[in-house]
This record gives sequence, C-alpha cells and structure tokens, in this order.
Amino acid sequence: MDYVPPKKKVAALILKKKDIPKLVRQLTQVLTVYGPVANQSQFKFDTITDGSQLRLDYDTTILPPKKFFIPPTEDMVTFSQSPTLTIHDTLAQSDIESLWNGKRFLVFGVHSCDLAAIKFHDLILTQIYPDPYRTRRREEGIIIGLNCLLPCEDSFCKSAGTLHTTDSADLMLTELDNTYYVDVLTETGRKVVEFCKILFSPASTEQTKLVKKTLTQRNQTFPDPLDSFEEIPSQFDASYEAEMWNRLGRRCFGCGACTMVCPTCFCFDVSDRVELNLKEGARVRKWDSCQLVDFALVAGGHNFRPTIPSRVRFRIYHKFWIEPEQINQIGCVGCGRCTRACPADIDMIELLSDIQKGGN
Amino acid sequence: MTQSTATRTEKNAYQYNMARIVRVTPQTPDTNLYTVEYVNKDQQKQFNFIPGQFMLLSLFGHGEAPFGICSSPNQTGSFDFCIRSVGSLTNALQNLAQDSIVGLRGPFGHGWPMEKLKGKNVVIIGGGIGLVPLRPAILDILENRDDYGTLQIMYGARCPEELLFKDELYIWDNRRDVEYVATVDRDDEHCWAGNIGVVTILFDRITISPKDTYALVCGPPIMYKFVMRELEKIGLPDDRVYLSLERRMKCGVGHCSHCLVGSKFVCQDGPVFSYKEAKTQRGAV
Repeated sequence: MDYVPPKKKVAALILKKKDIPKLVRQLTQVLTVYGPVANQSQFKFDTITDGSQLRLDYDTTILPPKKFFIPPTEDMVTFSQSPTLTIHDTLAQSDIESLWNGKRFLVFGVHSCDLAAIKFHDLILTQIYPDPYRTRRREEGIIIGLNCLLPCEDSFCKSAGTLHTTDSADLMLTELDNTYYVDVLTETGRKVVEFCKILFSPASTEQTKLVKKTLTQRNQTFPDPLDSFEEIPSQFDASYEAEMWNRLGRRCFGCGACTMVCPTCFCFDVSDRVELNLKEGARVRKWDSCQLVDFALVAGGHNFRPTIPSRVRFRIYHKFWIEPEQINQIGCVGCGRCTRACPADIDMIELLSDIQKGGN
Repeated sequence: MTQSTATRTEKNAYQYNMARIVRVTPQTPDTNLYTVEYVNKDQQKQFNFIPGQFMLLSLFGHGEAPFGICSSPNQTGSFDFCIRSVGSLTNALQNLAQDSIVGLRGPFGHGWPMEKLKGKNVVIIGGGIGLVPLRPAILDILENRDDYGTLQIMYGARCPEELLFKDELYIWDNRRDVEYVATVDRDDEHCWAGNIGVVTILFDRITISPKDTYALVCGPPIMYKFVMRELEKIGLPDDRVYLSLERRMKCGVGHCSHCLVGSKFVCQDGPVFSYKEAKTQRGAV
C-alpha cells in the first residue's frame, strides 16, 4: 500500500522541532491550544501553555480529541425562574468570543484515526438537522494532524482504512529527523502558517520525496489484522443471532467504558441541573452509553434492550450496520481504545474476526 | 419570559417555544389532558401538525420528554397533550397550576398517512395510553366523515377506570357511522358490562374487510406482535398497516441515538411506520 499524499494541498513546508515551543507560544497568544501531554503512564489531550508540555511522541490518548467538539457535559440552555421564567441559549451570539479569525481553539497533534472520527461526526451528526452545539465548536476549532510512524497496541487503523486520513486536519505534520514536514491542507491552515510564518520554510523536493518514502514504509510495517473490513456490515447480518453475543455478554460488565473512550460514539443524554436556590439551573447534555441498562428504557418500565448481550450487540450493530446504512461509512476507525479500556479484556479485533467467521 | 435567543444556526431544532397551560382536564386518576396555547399569538395561529406527530415538552428544572399531540388537527387556538404521570417530569406536570408555562419543540416526525386514508376504510386499534396519538386521526376522520369509508375503532385498557376520553367513547359507541368495540384486561370492581381480555380478543367481535382498508395501530410494545398476527390473518397487506412506535428520546432530531430502531430514528423517520417498513428494521416490532 503506497502512501498517497493528501489531494487538497495548499503548500508543503518545514517546521524545525526546536521551533515547536515558539509556535505554541505564538498560538497561545490568540487561541486556547490543546495537545497530547503525559498523564502518568498514559497520554491525554489537555491545555498546553508551554511547548515543552507537548508530547508529539505519544502513542494514543485515553480519550480522543472528540471531547473538544462534543464535551462530556455541556449546558444547552440556562434558565432562571425568578421572577419569571427566563431562558438563555448557550448558542446565542453574545456567548461567542471570537479570539482569532472566528477560531477559539486549536488541537495539536491529532492522529489519523481521530481525524477520521471527526470527519465521521461531521457526516453522522448532520444527517437530518445539523447538531448546532457540535457545529459551533467545530467551526471554532483548528486541527493540526500528526502522522503516526509507529503502530499503537490493539489498534487496527490499517484494516479500518484510516491510516492515512488527513480529513478534517488544517495542517498535517510528518516527523522527518529534526523537523516536521507540514502539509498545509486548508485556508485556515494557511492562516496559521501565515501568522507564524517566520517558523516555516518551504519544503524541498527531496524532503517531499523522503516523506512519501517514510510513509510508504510506515504503511508496510503497520499491522493489518482484519481482512476486508468493509465487508463486516454484511457479515454482521449473518452473525446477528449467533452464539458469540451471549458469550461476550457473559464477559462484559456493562460498564460502558468502551463507549466513553470511543472517538465515534456520540450518543448523549439530556437532563436538568437545578442550583441549590431552586430558581436557576441548566439543561445539560452529557455523554451517554448504549451499554448502560437504562439507555433504551421507556416510561412505564419497558426496556427494549434489557440484557447485556443485547446491549453488547447493539454497540456493534450501530457502528457496523446502522451507520453504514445511514451514511455509507462504518462507525469504527480502528483506534483500539475500546480494547484498552475494557476491564473484561474484550478485544475488538477478536470480536470483529468472530463476526467474520460467522459468530459461532 | 423571553423566547430562546438562538441565532447562530439558521434552523436550531433545539429552540424552545413557550406555551401556557390553559386547561387541565383529568381523564383518570393518573392521566390528565393538558390544553396549551403558545404564548406568542402569531405562533399559535401558524401552528399545525399531522395526526401522529409528537412534540418535546419541557418543564425547566424537571426535564423534557416526547408526547404525542392529542387534539384534532382542525382545532384552532389551542392544542392538547394527554399525559400519564409515571416519572419525575410527568408528576411535576400534574402538580402544575393553570397558566403555568411549558417549553415546546416540534412537532417532529412522520404522522399517520392521512392523505392515503382518503376514500378508504380505516381500522384503528389502540391499547391503553396508545389511544393518545390515534385521537387526532380519529377526530380528523369524524370531522371530515364523508372523505372516508367505514371507521372501526378497537380500544383496550387495563381496567375500566383507565379508559381515556370516556365521553368521546360514548359518542363513538353511539354513532351509526362508527363501529366501536372496547375491552378491559380485568374488572376487579365489577363495573364493566363489556368485553374482558386483551385487545386482540376484539378481532372476534368485529368483522374487518381487508378490501381498501388501512389499519392504524398504537399501544404498548408487547401488543404489536399479536395485533400484526391478527391483521395478517385477515389478509391486510403490510403496506396498509401503520404503527406508531415508542422509544426513549432525548433530542427529537436524530442526534442522541436513543430511539434508533435498525437504521431508522423513531423521532424523525417515525414515530409512525408502515408495518412493511418496520419489518425491515430489527427490533421494531
């Protein structure tokens, strides 16, 4: 599998590794900058105030950068009952402090799998009505992608076809010795480069060739544990009634960790938070999980998915059958986070190969 | 009181419109009919819906939930919801004073195929609170009675005191142009002279001709399988049987994914589906 450079490319530049702190310093003057930082033995995306905090050598993060576009909890409206009911929509224009070119934040160092997941949300959450809360954050964010050169454990991005996704990135970085090779992919990306132009120099033809060679070699070394990933939706059909779901259901604790760490999961719950004065409060949207018992429970007590096997299967059903039906894309980017988060050691690669084998 | 002020997105489906509860009419000990009107008079004038559609009703501080609109689509000046108290939001609703303000979003979703029903015979099968989203269709048919063929209504409730719209049931029962049959699951108080048993026993009490007939069905989840079996026996084709599905909903606009039935959102693709379509989606019926 040869590396195919991004189609929509404005320019190719070089950024020296030692200039990253300078770049971060300049960007933090006008934007909130998030990036991968160490979190004990793992990594997480967090606010960056100093370039030295950035760990662009990270393998994967606990949570995907989804959290900047769909926060774990978010006030949709705030309300006050005194003296009469007043409602304030958090989408109202006055709430938006545009810091720089309509942008408020920048996410640094997003890997291809997560870029693919962001693109996936762009499609799935605009099917009928655009989700206005996510759309706003998406418009306010700048994304700097980063090509992985080493595979991370439990991932299957090559099988899932997301290994060289640059979708949704404004700039895409590839490590090249002491520098980063920078593909400028969007107009926003061009503005970022322009804003810090002293730090960027044009890439030479040799460097462009070298990046292509590096990434082609990278493609060859990455594991590819699942054949014909795109056929899983039709194979899922055949495995729907198979024994594997009961087997998995007996192992699964129903904790929902897999869905909390998933870059493509987007289901949410809505409830009201009332302040202690009982007069004020907010309508809050928060991440929900189809693995939790009350996800499909309706008033009166009927539960459409009352058992763990039915919920385990639903997660896969949603990603590998429903979403392909709806937008012609599988809702899994192969990041492997669900496998790493699972306390029952349920392995997504194993699970998917079981489906491919008919599920028994 | 101010309207929600979303301006950023042209069509913010999450925008609330405020409505006043103008009347509360008790139906059963735990179920009330709430008559509401938009605070904004123009909005009330422009309001229209298709029978079978639902709205999301909010009490700020208690939450939001979907409810089928219950009044005739021809009613002007106000519209109704019929709501049973089963949770925190619905209990809070029951304790509201008249003139209280609620937030509304919608109407959402696809309703009953009223256009297709013109000139056809209609069978309506309601179980329990499932009569609520059927009532706008029944009222619309009765108000334009000449536009339709025969109208047969089958209604089952758990017990006599849980029958909704009792004064209307009496009228339906006595109209010559409506065939109305009802049943209750049990009659502990011995106050019921009619049928006893689940709604499907009514198929023995009524003759349904499959010719030019459409069926509209709404009831508890368990009911559909048995009713569909009876309708299949009669020979009603799947594309002339419509059912309204209930699922947990948090957004109403195809985002939160609670209401997914196969690849369909009950909130947007439904809640009314033809049986033919519902059959293609796993777990629908």
